Amino acid sequence: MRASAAAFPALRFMNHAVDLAAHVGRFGLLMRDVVRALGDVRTYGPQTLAQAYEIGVRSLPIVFLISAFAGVVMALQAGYQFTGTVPWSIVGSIVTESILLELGPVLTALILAGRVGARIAAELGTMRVTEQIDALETLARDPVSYLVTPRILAGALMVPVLVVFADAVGIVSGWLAAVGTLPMTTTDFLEGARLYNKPFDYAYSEIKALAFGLALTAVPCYIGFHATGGAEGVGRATTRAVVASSVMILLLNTLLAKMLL
Amino acid sequence: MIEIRNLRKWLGGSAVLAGVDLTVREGETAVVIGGSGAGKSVLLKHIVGLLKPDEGEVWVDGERVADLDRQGLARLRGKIGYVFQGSALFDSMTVAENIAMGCIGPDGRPAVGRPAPEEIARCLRIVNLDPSVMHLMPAELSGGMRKRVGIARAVACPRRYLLYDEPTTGLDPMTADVINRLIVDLDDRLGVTSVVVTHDMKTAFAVGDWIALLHEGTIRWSGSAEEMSHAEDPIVRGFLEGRADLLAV
Repeated sequence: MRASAAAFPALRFMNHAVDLAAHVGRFGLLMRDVVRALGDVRTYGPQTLAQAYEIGVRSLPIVFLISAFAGVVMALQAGYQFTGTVPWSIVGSIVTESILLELGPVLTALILAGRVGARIAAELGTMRVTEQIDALETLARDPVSYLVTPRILAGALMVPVLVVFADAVGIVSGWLAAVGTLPMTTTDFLEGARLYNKPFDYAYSEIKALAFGLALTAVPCYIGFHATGGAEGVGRATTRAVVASSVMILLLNTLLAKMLL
Repeated sequence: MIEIRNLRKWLGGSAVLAGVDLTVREGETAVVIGGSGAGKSVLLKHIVGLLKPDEGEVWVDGERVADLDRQGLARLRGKIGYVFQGSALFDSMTVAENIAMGCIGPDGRPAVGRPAPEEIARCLRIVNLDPSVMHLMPAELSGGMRKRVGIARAVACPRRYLLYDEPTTGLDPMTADVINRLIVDLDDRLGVTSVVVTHDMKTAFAVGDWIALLHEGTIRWSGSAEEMSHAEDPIVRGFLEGRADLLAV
């Protein structure tokens, strides 16, 4: 079947489609087990705290750095683009809305897909190929409850918190860059920031953060959990986890924009 | 008692097990030998329910493993200690924490609370390790020590069965001998029923009450160590003498 598939593109496409359907099915089963494991607080509770620290606290420096640069660049680009055409206060609108609606959640999620997603896939992949996950099962522990549920819960809890920090740092750094390099004042920036700002923008930012937090932990968990083939397999799983979770984040970003804006 | 009836398993499109029949009675130590990729580990994983048979049945203490629900499996696993080929110690935990993971109640649920250090020390002494290693991480242990910690974890609570997957693979002959003696000693002291899969003939002769040869997915030969030394089956002779030309028959 596989040999013929190499010769016939249609068969090859069908093989890919079947593989994809199998992945979707297995992913669905894993998520069902994650939900089922929610009753087992004694197992996943302590692990969730450890993962929340790893995903949340340890990611703070990189999130601060990325969002600070994003805010600065937004202010400088807006200044360059609108010099002499519109009032300076528009820079405040552009920085605030861009950070809240797009850059804060998306940049944070993409950075975390690399940092957190790779770590999750490598950890679980290594545990799979060294039979540590099998060992958990033989020791009467549910590996989903012990390994997967805490990581997904920690992602769902901590990514929204990180995005709050990212939004705040991005807007503050954008404001500092604007008043420091452009002929505008803090009052101009605040006036612009208030102009198009709606309470829903904050909710939208957090809804996206929650969806991204689930995606950037659930996808690497699935890929790492099903890794095969020794060290090479773990490497492959790690790369695939980062790519797949990044694509998932961009896909969700588009879907949420279409549905909620 | 462990009973395996006509067990068949296909993996990656080929039949790894093609109708295995095996019965291990109470208190026995059975050794299953076979070449690399013969399906020995696959056979062992069926006993503890890590794999489900494509055909055939595995029975442990009168229960069909494939029929057990989640709780039934947990209860079954509470009775079985499993020693993995690569030890499968949890990298992020100390030796003491690894051993504590082996503490399972009779209902198959993990024991509540951490075991006392004296209890961990007792488990380490069973496998002839100094209790001072309990604070080390698995990465700080030698291969032989890792195997012994793996065994200590498997016997951290009372078990009826011990399954050993290649317990001496990758060890030097002296350490392998220590592990072999440990398996015999544990069987005597704890009165457990054991299944050892290995391709190390020294281990097979040292620990087994009887030996079965798994070849091309079926049990090709079985008998005592004494009977094996005089067996005329060319595959058995190939294993005994380490001759690939006989194995190719």
